[in-house]
Amino acid sequence: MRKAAFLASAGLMLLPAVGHAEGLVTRHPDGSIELKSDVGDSITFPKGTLGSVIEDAWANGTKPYDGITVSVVTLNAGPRGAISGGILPWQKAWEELSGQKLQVVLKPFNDLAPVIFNDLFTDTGAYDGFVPPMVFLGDMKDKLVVLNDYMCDPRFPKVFTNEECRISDGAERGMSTLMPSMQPLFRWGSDWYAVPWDADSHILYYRKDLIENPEVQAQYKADTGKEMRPPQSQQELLEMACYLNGKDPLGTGKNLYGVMQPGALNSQLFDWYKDFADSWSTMVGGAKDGFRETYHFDPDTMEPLINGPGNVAALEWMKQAYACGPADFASIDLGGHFNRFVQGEAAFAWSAGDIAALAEEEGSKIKGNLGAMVIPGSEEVYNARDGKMVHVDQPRPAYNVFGASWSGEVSALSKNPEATYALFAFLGSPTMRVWNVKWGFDGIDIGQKADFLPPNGTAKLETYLAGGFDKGDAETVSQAIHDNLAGPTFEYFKIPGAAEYNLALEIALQQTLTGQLEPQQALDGVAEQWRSITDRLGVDSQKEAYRLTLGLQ
Amino acid sequence: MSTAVTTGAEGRARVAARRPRLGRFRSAKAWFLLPAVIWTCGFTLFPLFYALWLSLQQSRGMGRPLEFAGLKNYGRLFGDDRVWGALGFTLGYAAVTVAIQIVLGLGLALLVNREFRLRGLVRTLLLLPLFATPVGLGFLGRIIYADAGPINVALTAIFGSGVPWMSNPWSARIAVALLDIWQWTPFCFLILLAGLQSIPDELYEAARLDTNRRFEMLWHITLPLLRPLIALTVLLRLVEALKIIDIPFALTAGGPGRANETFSIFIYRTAFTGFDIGYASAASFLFLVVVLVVVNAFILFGRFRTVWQAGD
Repeated sequence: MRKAAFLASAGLMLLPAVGHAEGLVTRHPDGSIELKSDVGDSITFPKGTLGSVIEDAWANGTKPYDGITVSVVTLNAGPRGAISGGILPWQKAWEELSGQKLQVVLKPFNDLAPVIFNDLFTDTGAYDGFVPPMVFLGDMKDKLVVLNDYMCDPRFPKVFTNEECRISDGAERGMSTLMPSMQPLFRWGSDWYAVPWDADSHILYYRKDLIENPEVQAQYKADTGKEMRPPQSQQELLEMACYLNGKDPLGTGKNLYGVMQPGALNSQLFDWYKDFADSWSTMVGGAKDGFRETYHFDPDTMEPLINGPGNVAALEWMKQAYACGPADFASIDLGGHFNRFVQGEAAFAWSAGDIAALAEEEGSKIKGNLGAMVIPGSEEVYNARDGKMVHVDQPRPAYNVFGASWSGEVSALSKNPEATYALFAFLGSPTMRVWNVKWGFDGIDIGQKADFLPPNGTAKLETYLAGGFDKGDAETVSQAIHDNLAGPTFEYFKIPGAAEYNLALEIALQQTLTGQLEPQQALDGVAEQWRSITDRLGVDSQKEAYRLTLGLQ
Repeated sequence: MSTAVTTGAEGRARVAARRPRLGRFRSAKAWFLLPAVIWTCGFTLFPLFYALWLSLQQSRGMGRPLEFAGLKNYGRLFGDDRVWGALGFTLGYAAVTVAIQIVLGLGLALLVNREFRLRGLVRTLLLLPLFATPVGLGFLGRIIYADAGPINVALTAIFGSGVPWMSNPWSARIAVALLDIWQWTPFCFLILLAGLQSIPDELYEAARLDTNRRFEMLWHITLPLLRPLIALTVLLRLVEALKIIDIPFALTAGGPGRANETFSIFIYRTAFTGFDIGYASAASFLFLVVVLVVVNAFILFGRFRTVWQAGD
C-alpha cells in the first residue's frame, strides 16, 4: 500500500515534467507556427515558410515525420557553446514540430573528421547528416546528397526566395540571400551540398577605448611621431600592437598585450596566418579577377606557392606580431583567444564573428568599446609577374571568408534524407536567422544579408539589442563584417585533402613561432609536404578540384 | 583371492568402449577453446593481417578504391624525416620517463616500507594518480601549466616571472614528461613495494652483524633481490611508454610543432587527418619492429647479465 502510494505520488510529480516537454509548438489561427526554444524565447514562422509537409500535417493535427529517427553529427561545445548551441536549444521543439526523434551526436573538433569520414567511406551510414566545416566539402561531396532540388522544394522550410528558385543554374542561386563571396562555400560547381547556416569570416577587432582614446593617441604621437588610428595597413597594426604591449595606458593596474591570437595546434592557426599572408602574396585578390594569381597552388601545375617570398615575409610579420602578445600563445586555443580578448587583455585580435557576439555577453569588459574593421592589407606585396616584393601605398584589405562556416549536409547513406534535409532547412531558414543574430553563444556567425543592419541588410537593430548588444557595437560589427564579405575575398580552400594540407602548414607555423625553424625553412618543408600530398591524391584530380574552387572551369 | 585377468580381446574391447567418451571429452575441450580461438583470430590475427594488407595499399583520397603499392609505403618511411623525428623522440621520451619513474618509485617504496603512523593512508595517496584518466590529466595539465595556472603563479611569486610552458619545445616536453611521471611512478612504487615486502628480514638481520650502513645493505641485498621485479617493471613501463599518445596529445597535440609528436601521434595523424591508411599501417609495422627490438634487447641483456654473473 505504501509502495503504491509512493508510486502514485512519483507519477504525479512526473506529470508536470512530461507536460513541459510538450507545448513548445503552437499553431496560430492564421496558419503561422510558433516555437519555443530552451533559452526561453520563441520564434514565429509565418504561414508558408515551414514548408507544406510540416504545415499541412499540423493543419490536420498530425506530425509529418512521426516515428523517424534522425541522427546528426556536429561540434561539441555544449548547449550554450558554438554550433552545438545552435541546434540543442531547438531539439525538443523540432521533435515536437516534426515528430522526429532527433539524435545530436556531439564530437570535439579533433574527432569530427575521423568520425564523419569513417562513417561515409566505410559505408557505415550510422548518421543521417552532418554539420561540418565547409573545408571538408571536397572530401565529403561524393557521399552527400545534392540538395539542388530540395532547396526550392515547397514541401520543406524555405531557404531561398521564390525569385532565387526561378534561376535554373545552381551556381547563380542564393545571391540575394547570401553574400556573393560566401555563396560558393556551400556548393561544388553548380551543385549545392550544404544548407547555409553559419557564416564565418575574419575581421580585425580592436578596443576603441584605447585606439580611439585622445590621450593614448597623443602619447603615441609623442613617443613615435605617428598617428594612432584604426590601422590602415598590417605594418601600422604591428607598430601599434607592439607599442601597447606591456603597457597600461588606461591605468587599470594590469599591463596590456598587443595582440591576442590562438597559437595552439588544432586552433585554426593556418587561418590566422592566411588572414594576413594572402595580402602579402597576391596583388589583386585571387583568380576571380581574371589575372591568374592564386594563393595555394599554381593552377596549371599544382606546384605549391606557399614558400614564395610573400608568404615568407608574412610569416616574419606574424612572428613579430605574436611576440607582441602573451608569451604562452602556444597554449591559447580558440576559447582562450575569445575569452581573453573580451576580458580586455589585449588591444587587437583578428577573429571570427564569435568575438562580436561574446563581447556583448555578461562578464565582457569590452562591451561598448568594440572596434571592428576589415583586416588591413600589407604595404609590401609579392608581385608574381615581376617575381619581386613591391611597395604599395594603398594596401588592399584582406577580405576573406576564412573559417568553418558550419552548415548542414545530408548523407547519401541516410535512409531518411528528406527528414534530415527538413531539419537543416529549418535551422537555416531566414526566420531562424533572427534568433541566430540575437544570441551570440550559438556561434552561428552573421554573414547573410538578413543579418546585416540597413542599408546593407534587413536585420533590425531591436533584434541585436534584445540579444544584449550595445547599439554602437552592433552597428560597427554589422558594417565591418558586411564590408569584409562585400570585397574580393581570398580563395577558400576546400579541395580534397584540405585538412591534411592545412595540418602540415599549421605545424610548420607553430615551429616557426616557437623559434624551432626559420620562416623560409618552415615553408619550404610545407611545400615539400604539399607536393607529396598532391602526388598521392593525384595531380590531375587535385588540379581539377582546385581550378573548380577558383572558378577557373 | 581372485585375480582379474584381462585377455587381449577384453582389453581392446575396453579401449574401444572408452573411445567415444574420450572423443566426447576432446569435443568438449574444443568447444571450450573455441571462444579463445575466435577472439584471437578476430581481434588479433585478423587486424594484424588486415593491417599488413593495408600497408601494401595506397590511398588516393577518401572514397576512392585502394591501389596495390607493393612495398612503396615501406620505402617512403625511410625518406620521411617526420618518421625518424617521431621515432627518436619516442625512444628518448620512453627511456627518460621510465628511468625517472623507476628511480622515484623505488625511492618512495623504500621510504614507505617501514612502520609509521598513517602508513596506509600515505600509500593510498601515493597511488591515487595511477587511477586518473591520462586524457583527463592532459587537459588538467592545460590548467596547471597555463599562464595564470598554479605553477606559474608560484614561479612568479618566487622568481618574478613564470614559464611559457607550451611556447618552447623543451619546456613543453618537460611539462608532458612531468605529467607522465606523476601518473606512472605509483605503478612502479606499487610493484617495488610488494617486492621489498617479500624480502625476508633475516637477511638484513644477518647483514647487520657485518655492517650498519644502509647503502651497503641496499646495494648488496635489496637491489639484487629486487632485480627481477625491477626488470619486469621496466619492461611493462617501457612497452606502455613507447605507445604513449594520450597525455601529449591532450596537453599539446604533439606540439609545439612536432616537439611532442610521439610515434603513435604520427600514426594517428597520418591515418585520421590525411587518411593515408596504407602509409599509417606501414608505419605501425615499423613501430612494431622497433618495440620488439627494444624489448627483446632488454630481455637478452638481462639473460646475458645472468649468464655472465653465473660464470663469475
